[in-house]
Amino acid sequence: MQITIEHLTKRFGNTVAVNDLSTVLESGKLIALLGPSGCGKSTTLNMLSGILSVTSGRVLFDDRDVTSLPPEKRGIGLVFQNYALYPHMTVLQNICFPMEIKRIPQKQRLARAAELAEMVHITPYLNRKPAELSGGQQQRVAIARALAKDPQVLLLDEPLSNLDAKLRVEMREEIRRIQRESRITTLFVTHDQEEASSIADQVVLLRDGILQQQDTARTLYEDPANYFVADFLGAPPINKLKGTTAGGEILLDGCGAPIAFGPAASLPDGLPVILAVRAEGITTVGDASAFTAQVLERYSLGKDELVLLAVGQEQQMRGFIPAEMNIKASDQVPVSLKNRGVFLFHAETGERYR
Amino acid sequence: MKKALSGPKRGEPITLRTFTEPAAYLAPFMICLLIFTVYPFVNVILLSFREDYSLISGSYTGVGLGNYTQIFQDPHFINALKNTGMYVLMVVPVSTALSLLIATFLNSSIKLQGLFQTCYFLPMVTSITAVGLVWKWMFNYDYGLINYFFSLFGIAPVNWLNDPRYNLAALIIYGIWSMMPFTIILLLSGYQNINPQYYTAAKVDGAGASRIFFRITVPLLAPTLGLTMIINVISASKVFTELFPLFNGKPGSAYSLYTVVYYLFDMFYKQWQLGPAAASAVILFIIVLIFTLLQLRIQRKWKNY
Repeated sequence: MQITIEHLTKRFGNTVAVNDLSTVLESGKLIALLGPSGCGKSTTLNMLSGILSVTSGRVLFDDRDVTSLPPEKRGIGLVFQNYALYPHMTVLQNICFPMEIKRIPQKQRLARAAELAEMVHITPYLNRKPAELSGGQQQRVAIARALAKDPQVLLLDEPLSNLDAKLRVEMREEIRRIQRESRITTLFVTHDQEEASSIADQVVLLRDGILQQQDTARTLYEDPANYFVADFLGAPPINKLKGTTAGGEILLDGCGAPIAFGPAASLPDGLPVILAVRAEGITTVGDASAFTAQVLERYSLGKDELVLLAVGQEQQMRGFIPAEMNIKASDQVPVSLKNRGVFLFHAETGERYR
Repeated sequence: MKKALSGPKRGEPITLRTFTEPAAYLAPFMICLLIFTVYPFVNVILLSFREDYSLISGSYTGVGLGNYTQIFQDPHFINALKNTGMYVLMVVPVSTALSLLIATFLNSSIKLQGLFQTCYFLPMVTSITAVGLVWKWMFNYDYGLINYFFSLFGIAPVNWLNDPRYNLAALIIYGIWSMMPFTIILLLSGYQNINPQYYTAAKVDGAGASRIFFRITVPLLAPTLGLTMIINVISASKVFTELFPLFNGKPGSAYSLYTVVYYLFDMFYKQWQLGPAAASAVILFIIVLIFTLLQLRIQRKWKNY
C-alpha cells in the first residue's frame, strides 16, 4: 500500500509539531521516520494511524482518503513503544484478540496465530503471559499481534528503544526479516540514525516538523540536502570548520591560507560558510595538500585509527588514517580533502553549495 | 532500611541495650494495641464461654457453650443472621457493580467531571445519621420521593418503613447507596494503575466500548475489585448504624429487622446479657473471617498477571 501524505500539519496550541509535510511512501518498503526528539516523527506516525487527528492536510492509503477515518478502519497494524501487550492475556490470546474482533472463526484464528508465531519465532511461548517474556520476545509478540489483522500498513513507534544495545541490533534485523517476509509497507519511528540507516529502504528525516530529506540512507549520508542532514547522520559526527569565502576559495577561521574547494569558486566574497568534512573525507598522504595540521591525539578504535587535528589556531577536526601510518601526537601532517564526504554550507541558513 | 541508627553492628557484642532501645521505640504502639485491641479481643472470647456472667460481681456459674446454645435458640439471633446475610448478599454485589459503572463513567473524560466526582463523594463526608434522616423522608409513604417516582410508572406506593415486609428492602437500598462512594474511590485508584495505552491498543484493534469494558477494564481491575469486595463484605456484615435513623432506633418497624451487630448491642446495653452478647460477637467474627478467607482465595485466582 502506497502512503501519500499531502500538506500534513499538526498544531498543539501554538506549537507546530508537523509543518506542511508532503511525501509519498512507496508500497512494500521499510521506511524509517528519523529525527531528533520533538521533531514530530511520532506525531506524524500517530496521524497515519489515526490516533491523532490532523490539523490540516490529507493522508491517502493508495487512492483511499483515510484522513478522517478512525484507527480501526484504516487497516493498520500498530506496535507501541512499550508494546502495550494485554497483561492478563496469554501470548496466544493477545495475538488472537484483533482477529476475535474481526469475527474470524476460531479455527482460522488459531491457525493464523500459529503461523505468525512461527514467523516471529515465539511458538514456544504461546501460553505465557507477557510479564514472563523478555523485552525482545514481547516486541515479537507485539509485531505478531499487529500483523494478525492482516494490515496493509505496519506502523512501529520507537520499536527498539526499550531494548538493550545487543538485543537492539538483533531485533532490528528481525524487523527487517519480518518485513521482507510479510512484504507489508512498514514505517518505523526512530531517533537513532544508525538504526534507520542499517535496515530502512528509505529514510525520511524530519526536523522541527519539517521534512529535510527523503532518500536511501546512503544518499542522505553521501549527498545531504542541507547542513542539518549532514550533521545528523554519521558517527563520529561530521567535522564542522567555520570560515568565509574569499576569492572563490575558503578562508577557515584561524588559518592563514585559503583552501580551494570546487563549490566555493562561484560564490561571492565574505560569505560565512561551514566546510563540513567527514572523518573519512581526508587523506594525510599525497602531495596536493589543502593545509597542514598538527596532530593532537591519536585514538585506536579497533579496525580504524582516528586522529584529532588542530586546524589553524582555533579549530579542530577528526579524521581516519590508515592503521599502518606512522603518525604520533604533535606531528605536522599534510591534509588533503577527498571528493567524497566534504560539503560546503551557508553558516546560518544551512543551505548547501554544490 | 539498610543502615539503622542503632542496633547491633557487625561484631558488636549483644547486650541488654540491643533489645531495650528497639523495644522503647515500639512501646507506644504496642501498649495501645495490647490495651485496646488484644486485651478486649481475648476477653470477649473468654467471656463468651462464661455462663451466667454478672458484670457487677464478676461471678459466673460455669464455663461452656451455654451462651452459644442460648443465642442459637433465640429467634431474634436467627433472624439477625438471616437479615445480615441477605443484606451482605444484596448490598455488596449491587453496590460494587454500580460503583464500577460510575467509576468507568468518571474515569472517561466527560464535561463537569469535577462536579460529578464531588457529588458522588458527598455521602462519604456526610454523617450517616444525617443522610439517614434524608433517606427516611425519601422512603416516606405519603410524601417520599421514591413512592412519587413509583407513582409516575403507575406502581402502588410502598410502605417502606412501616410495613415489616419492606423494611429489609429499604435498608438494602440505603446500604447500597452509602457503600458506593468509598467503592468508587477505590476503583478510581485502580483505574489509575491501568496504562491508558491498553485502551489505545484495543481501539486500534477495533474493539468496541463494551468489549473494551469486559475484556480489558474488568480483568485489569480484578485485583482492586477483589479488595473492595472484601472490605465491603466486612463492613456490610457489621450493618448497625443505618438502622437508627430509618427506624427510630428500633430493629425494623416490627422488631423483625435484627442484624447481628444490632442483636449484640441489644443484648449488651439493653438486656445486660454479657455472655450471649460476647458469643454473638464471636460468631460474627467467624463469619467475617470465613468470608475474607474465601475472597482472598478467589482474589488470588483473579490476580492474573
